[in-house]
Amino acid sequence: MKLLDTVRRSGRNLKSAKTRTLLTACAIAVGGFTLTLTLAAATGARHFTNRLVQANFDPQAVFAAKDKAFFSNNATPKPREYSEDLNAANGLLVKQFTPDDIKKVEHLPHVRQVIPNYTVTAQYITREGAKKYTGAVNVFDSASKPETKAGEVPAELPADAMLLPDDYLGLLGFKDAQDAIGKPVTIQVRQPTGKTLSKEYAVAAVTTKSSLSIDFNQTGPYISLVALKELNDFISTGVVNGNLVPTITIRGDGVDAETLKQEVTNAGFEARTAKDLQSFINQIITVLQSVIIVFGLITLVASFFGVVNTQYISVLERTREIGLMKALGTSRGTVSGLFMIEATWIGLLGAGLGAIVAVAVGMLLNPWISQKLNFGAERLLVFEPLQIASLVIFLMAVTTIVGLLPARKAAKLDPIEALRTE
Amino acid sequence: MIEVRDVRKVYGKKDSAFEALKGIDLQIPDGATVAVIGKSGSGKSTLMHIMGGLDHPTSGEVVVNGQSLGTMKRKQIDHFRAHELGFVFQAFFVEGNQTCYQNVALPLEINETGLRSRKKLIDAALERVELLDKKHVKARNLSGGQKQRLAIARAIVNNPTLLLADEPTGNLDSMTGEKIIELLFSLNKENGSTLVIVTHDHELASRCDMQIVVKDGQVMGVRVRQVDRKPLPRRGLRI
Repeated sequence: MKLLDTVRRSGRNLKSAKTRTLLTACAIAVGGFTLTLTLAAATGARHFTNRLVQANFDPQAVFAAKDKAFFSNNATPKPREYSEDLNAANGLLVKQFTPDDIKKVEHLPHVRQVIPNYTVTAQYITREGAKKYTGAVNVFDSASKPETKAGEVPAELPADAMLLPDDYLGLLGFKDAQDAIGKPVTIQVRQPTGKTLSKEYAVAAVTTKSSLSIDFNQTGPYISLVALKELNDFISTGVVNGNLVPTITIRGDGVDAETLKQEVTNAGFEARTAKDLQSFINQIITVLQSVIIVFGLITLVASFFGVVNTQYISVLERTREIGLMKALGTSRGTVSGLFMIEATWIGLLGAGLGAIVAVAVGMLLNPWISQKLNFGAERLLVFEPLQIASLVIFLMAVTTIVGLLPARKAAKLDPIEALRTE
Repeated sequence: MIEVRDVRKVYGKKDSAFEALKGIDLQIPDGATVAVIGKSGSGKSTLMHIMGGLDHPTSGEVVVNGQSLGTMKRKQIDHFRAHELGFVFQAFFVEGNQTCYQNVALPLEINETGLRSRKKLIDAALERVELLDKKHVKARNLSGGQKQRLAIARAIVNNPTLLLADEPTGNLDSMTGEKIIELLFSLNKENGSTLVIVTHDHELASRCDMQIVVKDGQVMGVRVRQVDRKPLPRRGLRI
């Protein structure tokens, strides 16, 4: 029998037992549904982290620490041999960059700029007629593109300008974001000796937290590197280890991040690119995804038993028909092919059904999920046609293989015995 | 030419063994009409199944045109059945939820006849059994006589050289049975195919060229009717 005839015949057989076919397909559909959603969620999560990393980290830049322990996940505080550059950071005693180290990095051939990640806490932030607030002051990284409520973020922030987070608007007594633009805000810092330095910065733009922004530090005004260095130098004068910084951000002269990372590593420091960070997060997603996929596959195993059972019953029901076909000269291969193709059809129907329902449910739920997770315009469930197609093909292939058992039984039927059943 | 040489068939083993056929010898010339007569349990159906390659003899052999079915590979037997053989079963065995067209299409699907000639052959076969107007009617909606005619259409659609009919009139009233018999004989005359009918109807048997009486698994007698009819367009069996 030709393949086309076999396929048509099997389709006809399934059609004549519509309810049973549909119910068996539903079993597969449950697995298909779970797997489609899992894949979509993982794809969505990957897209999200990629965008997150792109929005927060300069893909050309390298993030460096002096101490390996800084990047290790399971470093525990323990006594360490004395070294002049040891200092506490993030609750961990790590070697930090000295001014000499920073100079060394600056002199590397492809390094254009080194931004020490100072952590400056203001004594207070205020303006005329407003209360005083304590908070962190951050360096503005020109590679990050914060969302603004008012004003423009300049390419290079002048030393006497700042970006003000919208949290401060009400606190500092501004009517709205537009009102703050151009107005001076005072930041005062204090040395341990009690000496203070007060500086005024004009608000260049009011920023707002976007769904994609990660703030490692506390929310606070952003000022230029020059201005922050000035504040930091003032505070750390006379402080033990005051001139140490735990991490630095390095910009290259146009070389790719990987080359830059290699150069910094060779100089004896630990470096990470945005890509490293991205792959680290993606690794976590992959692990989570695998766990859910395993559960999906377990559901599938159950439904495969369903397919085998149904097909066995089908073989029993159609013993006479199989006997007739064999009596008329149908080969064993064709008979087993007929049943396997039926299983394939069930697989296609089930997987297709599951995928369609999953996409429909995903489309409906996406806006709600995004709202709940504060994703903004991002979607958690991202459906990729290629991924769904390969899932459907995979399910079809597996149901076909599973259908092999009943198909073999059908192929082995003795036509005489089969025709005797009355 | 079909030769049955000392065919024995034993069912079961040792104590419970039952010898259905006890050494059958037959020679059936091409184009002949043959009736195998016997009571139920005489082994006539088993004999027919062995002649059609459906069942294997315990010993002895069936030789079709010089080739023994026993030495043929499974594929060759499948090919033989698909191209040379037509089966009509007592219980019709038509697929109720398929149309007449689909039922008759089965042998042509099996022997991989091209789609175009398939349509012509099916129409011709349905016309032959006067069911062309029921072409797209589901088989379950046919009467008993119509179902048997449909089964015959399915048996002849591949122009078989050997048509095996197992009690083709057993389930039918005499009027309908008569029509079926006429149909089978006219097919034999027109196509020159060998017709073997298993029956216990003596009247039907008396119209055949050859009557083989089977009793308790043995051939009790062979009657050959001397006929004075025009030579048939004989077709040899091809394998």
